[in-house]
Amino acid sequence: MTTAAQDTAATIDELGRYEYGWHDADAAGTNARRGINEDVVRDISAKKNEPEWMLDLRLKGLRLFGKKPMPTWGSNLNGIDFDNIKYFVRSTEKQAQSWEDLPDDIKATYDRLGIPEAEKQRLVAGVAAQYESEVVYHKIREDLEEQGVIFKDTDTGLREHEDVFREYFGSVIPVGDNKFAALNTAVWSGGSFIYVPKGVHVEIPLQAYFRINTENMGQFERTLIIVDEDAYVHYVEGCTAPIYSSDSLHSAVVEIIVRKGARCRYTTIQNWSNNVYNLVTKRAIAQAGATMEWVDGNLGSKVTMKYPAVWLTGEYAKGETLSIAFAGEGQHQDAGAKMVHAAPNTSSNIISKSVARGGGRTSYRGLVQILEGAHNSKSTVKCDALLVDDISRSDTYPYVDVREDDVSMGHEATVSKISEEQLFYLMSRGLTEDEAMAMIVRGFIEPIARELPMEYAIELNRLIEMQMEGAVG
Amino acid sequence: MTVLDAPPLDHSPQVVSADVDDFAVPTGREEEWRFAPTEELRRFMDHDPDAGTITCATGGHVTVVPIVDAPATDWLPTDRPSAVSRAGTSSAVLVRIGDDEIVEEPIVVELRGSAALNYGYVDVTIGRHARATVVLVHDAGVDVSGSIVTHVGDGANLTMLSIIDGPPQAVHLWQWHARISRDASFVGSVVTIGGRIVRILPSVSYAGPGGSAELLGAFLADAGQYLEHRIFIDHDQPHCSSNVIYKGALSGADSHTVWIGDVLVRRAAVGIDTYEMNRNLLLDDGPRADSVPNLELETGDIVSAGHASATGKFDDEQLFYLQARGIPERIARQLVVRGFFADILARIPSAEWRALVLGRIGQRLGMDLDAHEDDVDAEVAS
Amino acid sequence: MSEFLEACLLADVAPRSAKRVLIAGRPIAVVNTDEGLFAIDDRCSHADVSLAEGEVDGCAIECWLHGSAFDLRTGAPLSPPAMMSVPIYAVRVVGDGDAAVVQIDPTPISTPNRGTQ
Repeated sequence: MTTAAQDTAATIDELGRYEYGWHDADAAGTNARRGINEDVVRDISAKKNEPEWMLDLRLKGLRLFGKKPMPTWGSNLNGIDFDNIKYFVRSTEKQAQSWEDLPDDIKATYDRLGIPEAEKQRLVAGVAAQYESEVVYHKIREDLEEQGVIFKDTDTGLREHEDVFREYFGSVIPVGDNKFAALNTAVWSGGSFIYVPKGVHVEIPLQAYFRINTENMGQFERTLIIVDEDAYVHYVEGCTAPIYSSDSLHSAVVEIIVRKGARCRYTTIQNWSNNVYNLVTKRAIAQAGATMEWVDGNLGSKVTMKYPAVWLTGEYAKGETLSIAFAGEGQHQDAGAKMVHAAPNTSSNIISKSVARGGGRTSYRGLVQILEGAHNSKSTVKCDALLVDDISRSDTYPYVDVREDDVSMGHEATVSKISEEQLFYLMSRGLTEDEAMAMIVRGFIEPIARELPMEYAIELNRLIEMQMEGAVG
Repeated sequence: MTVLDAPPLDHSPQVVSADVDDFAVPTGREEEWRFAPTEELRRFMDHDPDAGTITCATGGHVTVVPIVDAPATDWLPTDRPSAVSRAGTSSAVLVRIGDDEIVEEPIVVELRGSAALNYGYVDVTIGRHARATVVLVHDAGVDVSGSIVTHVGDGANLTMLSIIDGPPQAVHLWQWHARISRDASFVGSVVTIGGRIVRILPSVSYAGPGGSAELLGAFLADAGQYLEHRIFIDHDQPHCSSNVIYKGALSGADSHTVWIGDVLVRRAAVGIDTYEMNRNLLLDDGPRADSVPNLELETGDIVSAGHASATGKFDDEQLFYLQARGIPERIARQLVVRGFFADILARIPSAEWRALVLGRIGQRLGMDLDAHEDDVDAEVAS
Repeated sequence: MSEFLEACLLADVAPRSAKRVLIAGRPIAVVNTDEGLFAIDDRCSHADVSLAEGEVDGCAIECWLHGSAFDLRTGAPLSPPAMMSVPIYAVRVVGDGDAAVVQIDPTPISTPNRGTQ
């Protein structure tokens, strides 16, 4: 006889196991150089025909990367071998203008991800699919272009809008912000550049798919989003990656400026393979009356360290982070949020949900800071963790710093485990054990899942259900 | 190959030692020192030959013995000042309650220093199935760096109250460790009112299953005061519980409070129940409150775990509600502050000590918190 | 009335670098830039790190730990993560050649408290 706890363990064991573990012939990647030095950085910049100031910035990034210490907190990053990473891989020489122009192997990859389907159904406003280090597929609907919305890969953005880049690149996350932001500045390639003009509401989410497809290849995409006054945009980023035997590094930088009265939502669903170190710096500035929302789902990787941040710099600015993390065997999701209140009457809200199983570890790490002068600010933080077995680990590390008196803030965390009573109750209503487990997990993450675009919510639910089905037998 | 040192796996003290040299002199960048005014605490980091020692009146359950005669314990300092103090102290204050002994009246220990700077060591040990209340009063107006080691025997029940008061220029640095045996219960309260720099490190460990720890704190910070309470609860035994409630009221320019609540639930600590709460009430402009509850769970087999932290301004809504009922603002404010501390005060063992603590809190806030109902009526009528 | 106190020899502060000095018990960074000499509190408003250990770039000093740069003329942060200004001080040089001495007025120059972002 198996106990409920054992069945639970078996059922949940499947969850979080990586589904997209296939990869295409690795033609572009094998030629790329490993390791980082000044020549590599100069080479990247030269290949892209960049202006001198960008090269200088890259070299500064390289210098600071060498100087800056590794984080003394968070996850164990010992497995990263910086000398064995390919910092730049070019998969196609020229960007494709349409789907038919894509090389067959790349098309095959995306077919399995369902991109053409999404494109056919016009579910997305424009697709920037990052295959290795360059954006290879890029299309924007005509009506968006007419509205003046710019949605490019970052390399093209720099070429066509150099003045904008000079002003904003590194203005939210400086080169020396942290070791990995410095590394990204040195070797960045690809990513998205979005500009939404004043008053323009982009009605459909802008989507980008990112893929790592080369062993030991670092992806260092760089995203810059500027939402002008009273405008609105929802940007969606999704990640899957093939399983490889040695570790990969993904270290992106995302900078967002939300101008007066504007609103930006940035949704990420990441499902990296279990060998990827995912170390990402994401920060937005929200000006007066602006709203910034991060919806952040972390489902794969070996280690994720990611704390999307909002610096609330204008009066009545709002920040919100909804975060969901799932850690399976051998995985550590160290995720959370940062909110810095730097102006009066600002408000922030953080909701974090995490599920750990099979010895995985989830950590919520947060920062809420209310600076002098940020009168009448409000912040609430709610963290819930669900443990589905006895060997998994969950930590909650909030950090709260208040320097004003007329503020209100609260942090609350609970850790619970799936109880046999819950399972028994659902099973007595006719559900099988795996259905019951799936229902509990789905119910737990529902407050965040319902904020996802429909296709992502379906994908997430399917993932949970699929894994539950396979577990009994 | 790039080889890096991994960050620590949890928040348990990184160095545990009786040897001062095992602890580097803090620079202020260390996680556990990042709030404290380390420059001003420099003189506690190395042995001071002129340091005095902490003593008290003896009698009943209380004795003072040369440090060499103090019984051995398995507690060790977790920071440099406590290692310096443990190595440098010349006497020990011992509070002893024997097995099965029931002591109804609180045992009051008024700690005194013999010099401007003092080292101290206090050992409170209660035998199995005994019950007692011990009150430690720190208001001698001298600087102290010391440690309090508490052993609670099997099935025993110990309630302690530590009052940090006295003139606003004193420095109080204390480590306070409680080791809780099988099925024992311990209530450790701290009321911090006085002192300029106060850094208290209450910690709890369990010597057997079934232990229960309740840590309570009330603190008041006024202009220029730095008050830090840094808690570490180490669950390594099954079926134990911990419950932490700390509340602070802050006012005045540059007053700064720090509350850290670290709870570590180790793999063996199945079936535990833990909750921590910190609430800070900001009474006017200027104060800073840092509040960090950290929870680390290495097993999923728990009863429940959670924490909460809230910092807010004086509740205008409550004030409005009371004023709408005809209660003058001054009285209304007193009622709100009294209400804020009510659950902590309710846990103070005797009415006499409850009144004393309330009186001192009121004195510090310039409020008469002991005001009776008829006083309120009188003021309303006038 | 302002009162200038001796900080260090001018020769001790190499061009495009900074030096930490203690003035009336207060750590201050003396910064030698192409645009002249400046004095700023030696404490980043973001994470209490010594600014003197950072890089001098034009008329700004950049905190080495998290990359915030501060305008030495106003003390204002030029980018996050820092949001608050750092106090700045009046500075002057007395004497010539190797004997030139840097003096600082330890009363901070009042500036707006926040960067413009």
